[in-house]
Amino acid sequence: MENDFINITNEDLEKLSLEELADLKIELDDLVSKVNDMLKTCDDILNKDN
Amino acid sequence: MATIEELNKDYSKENNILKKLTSPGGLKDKITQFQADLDLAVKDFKEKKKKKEYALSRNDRATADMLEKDLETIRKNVLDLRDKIQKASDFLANQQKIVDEKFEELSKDPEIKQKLDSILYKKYDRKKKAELNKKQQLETIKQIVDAHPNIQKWLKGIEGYEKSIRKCDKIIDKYKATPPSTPEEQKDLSDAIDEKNHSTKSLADRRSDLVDYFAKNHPEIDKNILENIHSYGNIDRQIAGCEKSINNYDKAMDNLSVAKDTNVVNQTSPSSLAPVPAQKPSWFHPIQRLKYSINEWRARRTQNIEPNPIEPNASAKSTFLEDVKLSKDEYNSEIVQKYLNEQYQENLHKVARQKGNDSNERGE
Repeated sequence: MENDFINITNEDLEKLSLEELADLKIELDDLVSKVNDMLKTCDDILNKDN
Repeated sequence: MATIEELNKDYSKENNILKKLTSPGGLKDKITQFQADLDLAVKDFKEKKKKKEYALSRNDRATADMLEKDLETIRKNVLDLRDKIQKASDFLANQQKIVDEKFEELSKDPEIKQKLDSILYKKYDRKKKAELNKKQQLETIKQIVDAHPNIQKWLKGIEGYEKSIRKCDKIIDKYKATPPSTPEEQKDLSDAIDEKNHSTKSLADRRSDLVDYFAKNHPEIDKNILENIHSYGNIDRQIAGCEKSINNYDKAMDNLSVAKDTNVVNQTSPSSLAPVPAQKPSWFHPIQRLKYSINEWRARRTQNIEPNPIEPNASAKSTFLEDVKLSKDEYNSEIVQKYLNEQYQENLHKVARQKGNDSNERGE
């Protein structure tokens, strides 16, 4: 999966404006939060007691 | 020497990280797809589990065992899905770490930190307003759906056709990896392609019914929101998602150094966004309600202020009471009494000033 998508390097970030950097941070934070929620839902299903 | 086109190409290449993340087929899209798959699995799981419990309550062991097998299949699918989500999570956590480190590095300079916080605050504020607006529209959609059985049918149809398309896609993908070798497998593939075509057309029809109905009867509802509703239950899940995002943005804003800077707050109240009616939260504290009433009363009073000074008398109190409709306890509260005293003193000063002006005019 890593190869299919972005792979941010520090050099890439150097070239971003503060606005672009902020956009990237917010988008990443949103996705991380979403993905963590999904993992929790999966674990709830996989927990046989549920 | 590089041409402008080359420079532009380089610039775009270096600045398209976010685009790559959010473009169609990008990671964000994949995650949305995972979410949809997971939602379906959760729904199936809950339904089958209820049926199994019902079967057990009737001592129908055979049905219960069959449903348990179905539940195991769903668990297996969820486990596969979880692997994919975990990979996305690890990858994103790594990317997030790199970006956060950059933020830390930049934030060492107080001036840049201030600027960054200010930018983030504005962006969070804008996103929060957009989520509030989306939540409000979803709630309106839900009310409308609840009142219209036909729309419920369309949503049921959308859910069913999407499910059918997913099922067919799995079969088609399977034969892409290993082409069908027996007549049964060829028929299996051919049936899946036919069913997918039929479901895709029917899905488009139901979606169009839904969008057209709202366009005609509720044009204020955003078409994009309607196009992203996958079932009736999906509306509630999206509302919960909006609430979660709003909370996340609130927390993120609270952690910024500019959180209490009223200038930033004023700058970040974009009037261009779709209007969201001001909502008084349920925890609206009595004292805050009182302050709110007093401010409103003050605003109205300023608009309707008489050009001539008013003699301080008891009528000021009764006007106030009539306007804000205070209870006895509220009237006797410290804040109201303080306010009334201030008004009284202010009026006394006004009268004194006016009298002074009048005598000066007469003296001239």
